[in-house]
Amino acid sequence: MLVRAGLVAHTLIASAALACSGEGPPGSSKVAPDPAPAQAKVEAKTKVEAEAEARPAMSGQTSARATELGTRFRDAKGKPSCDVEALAELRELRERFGPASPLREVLLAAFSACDERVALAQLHAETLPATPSAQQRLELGAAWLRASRYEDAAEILVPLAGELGPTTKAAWLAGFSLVHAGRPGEALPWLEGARAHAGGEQGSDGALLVGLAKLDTGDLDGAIATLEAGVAASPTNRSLLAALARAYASAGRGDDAARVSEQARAAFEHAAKSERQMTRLAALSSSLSEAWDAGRYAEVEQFIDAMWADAPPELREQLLSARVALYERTDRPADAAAARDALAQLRGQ
Amino acid sequence: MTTVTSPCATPLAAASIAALTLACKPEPPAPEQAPPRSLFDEAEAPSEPTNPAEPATAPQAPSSGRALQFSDVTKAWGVDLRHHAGRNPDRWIPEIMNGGVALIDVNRDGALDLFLADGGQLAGSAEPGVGPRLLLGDGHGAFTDVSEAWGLRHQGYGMGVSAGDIDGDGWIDLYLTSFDAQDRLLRNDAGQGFVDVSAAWGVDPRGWSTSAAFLDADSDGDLDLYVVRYIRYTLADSIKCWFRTIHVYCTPAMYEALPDLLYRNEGGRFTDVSAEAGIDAHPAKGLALATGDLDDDGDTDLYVANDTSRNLLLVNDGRGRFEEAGVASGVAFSQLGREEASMGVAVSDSNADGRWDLAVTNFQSEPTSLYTRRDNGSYRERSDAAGIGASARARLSFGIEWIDVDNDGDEDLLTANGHIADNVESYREQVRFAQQNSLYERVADGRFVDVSDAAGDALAYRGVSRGLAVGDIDGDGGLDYVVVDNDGPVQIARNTTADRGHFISLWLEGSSTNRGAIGARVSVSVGGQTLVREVRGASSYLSVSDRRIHLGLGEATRVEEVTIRWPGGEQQQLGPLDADTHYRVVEGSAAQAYVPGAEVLQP
Repeated sequence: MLVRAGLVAHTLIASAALACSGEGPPGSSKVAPDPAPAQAKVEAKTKVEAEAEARPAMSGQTSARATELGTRFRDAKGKPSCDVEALAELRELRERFGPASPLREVLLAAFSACDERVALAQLHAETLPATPSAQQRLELGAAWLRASRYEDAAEILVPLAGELGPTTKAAWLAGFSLVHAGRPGEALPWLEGARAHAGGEQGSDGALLVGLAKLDTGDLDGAIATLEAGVAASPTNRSLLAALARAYASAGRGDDAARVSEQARAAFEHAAKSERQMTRLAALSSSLSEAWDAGRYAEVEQFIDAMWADAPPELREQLLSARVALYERTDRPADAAAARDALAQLRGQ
Repeated sequence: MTTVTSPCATPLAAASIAALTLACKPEPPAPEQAPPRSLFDEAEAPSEPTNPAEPATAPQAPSSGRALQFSDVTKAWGVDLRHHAGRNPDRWIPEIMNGGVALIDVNRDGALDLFLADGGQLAGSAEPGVGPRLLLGDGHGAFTDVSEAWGLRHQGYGMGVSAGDIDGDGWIDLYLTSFDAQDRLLRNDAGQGFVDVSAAWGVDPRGWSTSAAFLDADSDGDLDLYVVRYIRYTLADSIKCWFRTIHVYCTPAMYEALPDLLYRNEGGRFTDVSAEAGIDAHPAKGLALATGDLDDDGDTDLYVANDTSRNLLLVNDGRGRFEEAGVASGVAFSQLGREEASMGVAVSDSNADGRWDLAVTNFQSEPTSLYTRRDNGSYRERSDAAGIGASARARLSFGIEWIDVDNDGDEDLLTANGHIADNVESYREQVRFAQQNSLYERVADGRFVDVSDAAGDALAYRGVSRGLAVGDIDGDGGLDYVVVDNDGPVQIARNTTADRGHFISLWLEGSSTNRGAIGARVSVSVGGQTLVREVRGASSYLSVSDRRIHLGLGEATRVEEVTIRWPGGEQQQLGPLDADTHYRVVEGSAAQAYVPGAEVLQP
């Protein structure tokens, strides 16, 4: 959703990608060097290679076509963009020729652009070398996680974490997949180990996952302590508040549960209100754009005024920005200055 | 329904009108923002599956020896019913939501009748619809359409149906929910027809009602009425939404929630007690509800499934005042604490631990949540651990019911599926508008296996299913089901599972308690396990399943003792009872065998 920030899965899985590329934030753990002997990798025949032997090879023309189709998954600004028709044609090529390069790379980009997460994970799995590197295994595990295939993710990530130790991203993601797969007891050592090593890098996500795992294993005191610490650091985090309320209720602390439940409800309602505003704004933007393009500035101003009355703070900042632009466009410098001042004030400048 | 919201988030941050407006023009969003999450927002959800036509996990062989089977007998049984949604080029949200159905016995002949809550016509729609339909069943699969004779006529845009005996005369009455029109309360005139008593009973909610339930909220022996409501939405101020250049259904996230309503039965009149009952303090975008004594304290609680907002667990204090405990109990959100787009709900003891669990259908890419209740009253979401999650994410589910297909004593799970966007295939290559319904067989240790692909031609069908109701339509001891496709056909699925176990069926009638025995609990010990069932005032989505208690007995040919806890707490023991028999049990009296459809059993 629009205003739901910090989704655990996205954050964690994105961080896995960073770890794989060695671009993690300062202090973050990195995937350990590939434990597989280099010679073995060289000698190993990949599944793709084996499959390729049984299929016709792509002609130069077909390869060129695949590459050409691949360009359709970027928009004019270079951002990923899904082209359903191109994706369908790529799938046909894959049926005929298998997922060998260069089709594999094009398909990966296409699946990513089209948010076809299961297909993406399946392609990673099918094209995994016989002796994959740690990074390749981590990418595959993260892909299964993004596809919500938690058992598949755990199958890859748990052994990998065992090889690399609890200080890696693999351990964190292994724990994440195990929590989702309903195996919180197995998840906890990985989560806690990774969290301790990262020095709280996972922030509220870390507190939430560890707290939930403790809650589901019956460690109520541990869950409460973890979640309380998380809430102290992120007092408006809805998921943490909801989990803490549940932990209090489970521990028989009814008054605390009621109090925190109310905080959680308020946080969710605030978010819902924000979302309502933002989604309406998004939907109405087409009309607004038309008015702006046509120079119907009074209509634009009316729209902003209408939104302003009920707007949450984060939307007000955007609306003030819009006012500045509107007043500048309509040659109202005094109003623009006032709006700019209000914007600065809102931002605490 | 689909929405296009995220692309405009960035423009807002761009600090200028130009950016705000221009960037919100149809243009490709970033991939993370792209999924038009539909009615119900998928932006943060995991992806839709690669191949929605197939389960995300390969079907496994069930552990029981019986292959669960359903045959599509709609034509064979002479049923030719079609739901009308009146779809409009403007893509109004109500038109992809409705399709309620009921399996009830309106004429007390012991045979199930079929009621369809038709949609009809939104302003400017091409299809007028035909109004609600009532087909009387003969107990053997033949139906007669008596809609006109029973006084049913098109009136308002229908959503769903609820059923209960509001005046205790022994004849089941109906409550019809609707969009942008007055809901209707129809009193059953001794099996001769329905009479609209909405005004006389003081029932006049307007806006958008979805599901409803009759329950004895204040434990006074008569049935009260809970009405679930959705969003504040009118055709006049509806908004057009776009995903790139594709016109899509808007998300409900952009509309305010309507609070639900609770009406207390004052004897011939309902009084709105929503405020004093604590109901109106929790407005949410409601679509479905289930009733049950969820905390095992002798009264009837409620669980309300809400779309893109937290779900509600309303715990009854026994006097009709409800405390919302969903957040603290762990059933308001997903496992990680986020709202889901919940559609339907059903209650069962899914892991045979003696506590009621909740199964909640959600949007595509979200699991059908399975909340299992624990000793301390909290719940744990375990859809993935139970084997449901991955398969359910591959479909968009609405109706849901527990159903012991093979009469082995445990309840399997059935969901009615279908996307909300008829043009979803133009922006999601692998997602289909018409989808296969899902059957999950319970195997062992509270685990389930998706057996949809191997369960017969009824489940091979791909449709846009919404309402789902379960009952033994042909009286052969196997639970059948009926699903309604939104703006499509009604399908009747006959249970053709070979070598089903034995069964007993109990039609309970209260005397000192509500006549329909809603809230009564039945316990039977058989084959080393204790089976517990409850007469529920509501479950599924917009629909009503047969209220008779159906117990699969496996190999047992006799039940030594049946214990009934009537609403209010009175206990009654029955037995021994022979298997494979339908019994009517009036509170305080012995069980009376009957043959469905053979004769009218007078109140």
